[in-house]
Amino acid sequence: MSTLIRVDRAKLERRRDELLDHARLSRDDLEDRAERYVLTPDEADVLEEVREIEFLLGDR
Amino acid sequence: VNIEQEALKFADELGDVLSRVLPGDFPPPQVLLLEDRFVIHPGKDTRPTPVPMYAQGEQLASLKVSYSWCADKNNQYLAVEKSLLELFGVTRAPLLRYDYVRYSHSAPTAHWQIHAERGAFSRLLAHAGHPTAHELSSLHIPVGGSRFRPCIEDFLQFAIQECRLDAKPGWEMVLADGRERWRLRQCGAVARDAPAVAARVLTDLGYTVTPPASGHRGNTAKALRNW
Repeated sequence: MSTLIRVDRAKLERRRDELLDHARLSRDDLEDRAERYVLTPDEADVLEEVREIEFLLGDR
Repeated sequence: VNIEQEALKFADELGDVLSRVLPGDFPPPQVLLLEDRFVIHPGKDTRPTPVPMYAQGEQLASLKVSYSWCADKNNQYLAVEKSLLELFGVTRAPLLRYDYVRYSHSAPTAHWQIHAERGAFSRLLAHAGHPTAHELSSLHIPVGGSRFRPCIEDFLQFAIQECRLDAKPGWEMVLADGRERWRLRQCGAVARDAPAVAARVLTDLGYTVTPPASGHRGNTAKALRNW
């Protein structure tokens, strides 16, 4: 059974920053590596998650 | 439209298809909601939990599933803004990916990416000046645009029937039911895209269709013309 989880804008922003800090890459660096098809599996996971967060935030 | 109610309905439908078709344990899809936007995927975090895929009982792949939704500008309909279905091998190497991006800038709105190698194809691309000729996955293979794109049921049936991955008994009926549900929804969207055509077809079938006093609404060019 699915449940609905209300997410908090500030928490999402914090999570996005943590992800990028942990990956040691900027948002643009990640996109650049994606365009060149050189993302590692971990980096690809980070990028997908950051994109989902930004979608929820309405940032991109 | 009641966003919360509809979001849960879509999540339950997705969970029902996945749990009745694929063997193994995985969390049900959850809805992560912020204002008028929501994301549906298995797992409670912002990172989707991969769904294990088996062949002859051995886990050989994983499936990433995620749908991002928002309400249209009139708050009348919910629309998928993005969706992602991706099959990975055990080493987390991507194998096959199907994306839908409603407002895609250059790639086709709905497309497959196949992670494969083919020397002759790469040679062709290199001669044509393609910047990543060695990566066939950099090609975005168009599949029907917003309205006529494949659904998750097609992806799952491909994995089961073509790739021979494991499925639960009765999977065919679950996928056929889900596919019918999806295509009926798309029928409604297509009728909105081309109301005059919808009215003509209904009239041909014997229905009486009365256009609004303002006349037929024009076609939705974006949905009909974008690749």
